[in-house]
Order: sequence, then C-alpha cells, then structure tokens
Amino acid sequence: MTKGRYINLGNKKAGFDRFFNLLWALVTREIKGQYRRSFLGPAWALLQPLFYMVIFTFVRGVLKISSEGIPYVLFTYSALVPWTFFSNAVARCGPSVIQNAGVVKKMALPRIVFPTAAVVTSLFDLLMSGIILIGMMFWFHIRVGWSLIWLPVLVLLMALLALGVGMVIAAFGTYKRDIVFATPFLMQFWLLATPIMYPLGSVPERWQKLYMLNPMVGLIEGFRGALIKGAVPDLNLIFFSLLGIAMVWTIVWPVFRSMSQYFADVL
Amino acid sequence: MADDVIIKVEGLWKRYGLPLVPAVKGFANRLLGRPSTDGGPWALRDVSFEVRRGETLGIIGRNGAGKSTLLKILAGVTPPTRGRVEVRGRVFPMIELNAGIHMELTGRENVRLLGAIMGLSRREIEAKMPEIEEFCELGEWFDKPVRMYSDGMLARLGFGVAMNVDADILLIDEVLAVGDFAFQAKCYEKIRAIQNEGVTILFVSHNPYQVERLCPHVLFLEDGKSVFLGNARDTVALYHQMCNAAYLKCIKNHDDVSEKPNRQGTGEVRIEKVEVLNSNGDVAETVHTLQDMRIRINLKARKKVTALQIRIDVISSAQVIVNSYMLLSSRTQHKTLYGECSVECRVPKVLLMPGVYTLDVVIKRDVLFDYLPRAASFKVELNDAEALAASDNKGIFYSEAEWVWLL
Repeated sequence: MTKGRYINLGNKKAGFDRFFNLLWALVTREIKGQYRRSFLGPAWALLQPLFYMVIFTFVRGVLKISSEGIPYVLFTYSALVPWTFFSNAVARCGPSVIQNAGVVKKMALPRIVFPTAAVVTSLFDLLMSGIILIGMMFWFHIRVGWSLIWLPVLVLLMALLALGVGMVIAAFGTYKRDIVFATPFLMQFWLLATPIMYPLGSVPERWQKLYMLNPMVGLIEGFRGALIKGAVPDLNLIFFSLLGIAMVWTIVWPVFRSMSQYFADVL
Repeated sequence: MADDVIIKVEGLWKRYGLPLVPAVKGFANRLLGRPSTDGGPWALRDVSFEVRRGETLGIIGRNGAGKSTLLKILAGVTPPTRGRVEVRGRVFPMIELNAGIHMELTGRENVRLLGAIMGLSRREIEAKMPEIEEFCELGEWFDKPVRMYSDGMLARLGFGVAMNVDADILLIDEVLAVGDFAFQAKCYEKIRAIQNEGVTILFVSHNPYQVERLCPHVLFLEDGKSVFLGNARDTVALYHQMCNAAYLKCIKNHDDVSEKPNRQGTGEVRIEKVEVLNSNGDVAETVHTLQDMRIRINLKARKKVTALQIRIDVISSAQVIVNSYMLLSSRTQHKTLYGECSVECRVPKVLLMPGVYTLDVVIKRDVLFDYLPRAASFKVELNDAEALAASDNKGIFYSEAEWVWLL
C-alpha cells in the first residue's frame, strides 16, 4: 500500500512573511481576548509571581533558606519572573491546538504557529511582571551593569525550551487530553527542582549531577545572577542548558511534525 | 497533467486518525490469528476526478458521504491515506461561522484575524476592509464584540472575508444555508461574479437546487465512493432518485394511519384513512404528471357537524409545502356529517415534478378536530420523455408552455 500524497504547486506565498503575519494575529488576539473581560486585565500577569513570592517568603521563615545576602523578596522574585514566563508558556502550549480547532480543521497552516503564539503571548506577561521587578530593584538600590545584555539571550533560551516542551504536550494532548491535565502538576514539581526559592549552592553535593539535568537550572540561576549580582552566567551551566534544549528539540520536532499532520482528524 | 487542469485527484482513499492505529490493530489481529479487516471505516474510497481552471464543480451526497472530507484533503488540512492529490493554486476554504473567531474581539478585529489566517498581509486586509464591511452589512455591529452576534451575523462575517480574497480555488462548504433571503441572493450574485473572474470553485451542499443553480458539473458521493460525475441535471436527477428511494423507505414505515400516536385535535371528527387514486380511479402508489389524481379521505364524525373545513398540504421530499387544497367551510355550510363518510379531492391535472410526496390533512371548524401529518405518501412519475426533457427535469413544479416564433 502506497502512502497518500498531497502536492500543492500553487502556494507560493507560504513562508516567513505569512508565518509572522499569522503569529502576530494570533498573539494580538490572545492578548486582547484574554484581558477584555476581566477587571484587572494585564495585572493578572503580575499577581502570579507575587503570590508565589509571598508563599516562599513565609516558607523561608519556617525553613531558614539562605539567599546569599540578597533581600529574600528580591532573590526569589527575580527568579519567579522568568520562571512564571516559562511555566505559563508551557501551560499555554498544551491546549493551543485544541483551542484553535476551528482554524486547524479548515486551513492548511504550519501547525507550529499555535504553540509558538502561546509562547510569544507569555512574553507579554513577562514584560508586565518585569515592571514590578524593576521597581523592586530601585527600592533595594541594586546596581546593574553590562551583564544585563545576557537577559534577552536567557529569555530566548527559555522560550526555546518552553516551545520544545510545549510541543510535546500539544502533540500528545491534542489526541488525548491527559497530558494537558497533568501539566500543572508537572510544572509544580519542576518549580521545586529549580533554584527559585533557594540558591543553587544549597543543593547537596551528591545530588548536583542529577540536578544539572534540569536545563532550567542554568537559565534561572544565570538570569538572577545577571540581574542582581551583575555576574556573567556560569557558562558551564549554560552549556548544559543548551545541550538539554538541543536534545528536547531533536526528539520533539520530528514527533510534532508527523503527529501534527493528523490534528485535523481528531479535533 | 494537462495545462488547464487545476485539481487532479487519483485513487484517493481517506481514513481518519493516525495511520499507526490501524497498523497496530492489523498486526495484533494477525498475531491473534483473527481475520484481518481492511481497517475501516473509510471516509473516502477510491475517488478520482479532475477540475479545470475556472470550472465550478458541485459535490452532492447525503450526510456522511465524504463531501467535507474531500474538501479538507483538497485544502491540505488532512493528508490523504492513499492516492494522489495535486492542486495548482492558492486554495481558500470558506471558513464557516465561528472558525478562528474570537468571541471577545469585534467584527473588524475578527476580519483581520481571519485574513491573517487565510494568508493575507496586513496591508491587503486593510485594503479589503471597506469592501468586506460593506458586503457584511452589519452596520454598527461590525465594531461590536462577536459574542453579541447571532449565527447568521457570524456567517455573514465569514462569508464576507472569503468572498473578498483573491483565491485560485475556492472551497465552499454548506454555507448558503444560513443568512436571510436577501443575503443569500447577494451571495449567489457574488459567487457568479467570482466564477466570471475565472476562479475555480468547489461547492458542497446537500441542497440539490443550490448545486443545480451554480454548478455545471456535479460529483455525487455516497458512502465515500464517487457514484456519478457528470452534468448537473443528470447527477442531480440521480441524486433525487436515490434520496427518494431512501425517503420512501423511511415514510413507508409510518404509513398506517390508525397507529399514529399523539394526534392533535378534539377527535369529534376523525380521519380514518387517506388514499391516493390514479386517473383510472384505482388506489395507487404512483400518479403521473399531467394526469388526474384524487385524494380520498374517509372520515368518522361522532356527532353531527356542519361547515367543516378540510385542508390537504402536499409536501415534497425537501419538506416544503408545494401546494395546498382547501375545502372552505362556506362550501360545506349545508352539509351535515354524521358517522362514516368519505370525501374526494379531485385534481384534474397533476403539476408536480417526479418525486416522492406526502400529504398532511387537517380537519377543523372553529376548533381543530383532527390533524394527521404524513397521512399518505405517493410517487409522481412522468413517463413522457419529451415532456420531461421540455422541463429540463428541473424545478419544483411542472408547467406546460407553448413556444411561438414571432417572425
């Protein structure tokens, strides 16, 4: 039995232009639609990391966690801001195809545009929660330096990782919803396995190797260091993160590509 | 492929879902020694056809025949399981209501979104905007959130966008069903204009009248198989035949008057039996166009009644009242009924097109005595081939005409 073939010789307009156009339309739709029916609107983007910050500050009072001499509120919030971006991005990816069922079933579009739009939408939230972070830094008189140029790089890497993970969830979640339901648990677990409420230094020596398998470790630690300590990220850690991201993409990309062809069949 | 062929479909088979699933099932069956199946259900089986540039192809078939699946494959939304599909041009599926539409956004914002989804650049969309806005006729609602829209308004929006993009191939799926008459007429006009511009159109519907009106060629699908591909008249006639056979089978099961449950009306006068008689005066299942027909109604009155009013509605298989015969109460003022009696409605010349019809019978005075939907059914045939040809086998009623040369 030969596999079916679909050949379109006429879609010359396909390409980057079309992709970014569509991406832009989907992102603006998400952002506008999300806030138009809420009182607080974009303020919701701030509340999530703030809420975690309050909890962590309370937990710290009980557990005596070190914050390497930095005011703990700032210490944890400066890691929560990029983390919230990452975890929201992953969580948004999962149902992104399902939510766009109407479009997926009608138009031949590069399916990756849906998880990509989910990640880009989360960037907007990151900018919003960044405003409070800047306010805090003024409050605590933190001096910043050239290391800030690392921030966009780190955010880009987090976006790539989020998209990689998000694509798996979207690919399988579109067929069976289980993995979409499981995402919040997964992200909670991941949150605790990343140096956000505690410094990297307090992870016991014998767990360090296992711990480094988490590609978010280097990215979060690097983000906090570059922002607050004016330090260049530990390149060893960044290398591990890059390796992790590359591995995720090598596995996920072909899986997503082949599974996404049949999305319209199951929606 | 020939130069002017824009769509070529060869031996197309389609089964929904990941191809892995039936493969695994087949393997398991072989391991367990169970007979292997072909892995169905197939949405399309071995469909082949070609469409030339600028042609309009209608696709008809009953629910689940594979019409929409075919369009999806042509749009590249879902891959073919077997066979080969070749398309030469920009394909635009007509996105039906609420696809890609975000309820919180306004009509205008949704048009931008739909445009981007359909591959228009922002400048192109803004350039088309006035045209689209005018076409939709939504007035101030155009700048209101879509969540306030009715289904018909949403459809206008979707149609407005699709009709105003520059496509090579336009796929239209069952969309003319919505919208009021004025808007439908406008859509027909627009489709005609697009046809004249040389755009290739694939038009799916299960309304044969629409297809007949817009498409010179029609593909008839049944159970995923292509049953017939030919000119509109022959294909639609075949479609009518198959639908009528199925329809007849469905109504025959309900034909026994005495078993009709839940009858409305007071029951002081009851309809006992309704029969259709042919021109020879025999009870028949079939009558002929342009010949006599009688409809005989047996009644039973439990008390004396006068000034009875009787109405017979003739209903086509499309569930449209084709015509009505009314016995006015002014005509029965001096007729007193009691006990069993019969009345005949004599139609001198049946002007119905060949097909299957049912009769609804209503008996009332100032109150409703009895109402019997589908009291009887009958077939209409027209054996005179020339007479049939003179009507082009189209339309919803038959009428004779004389052609006279004036020079």
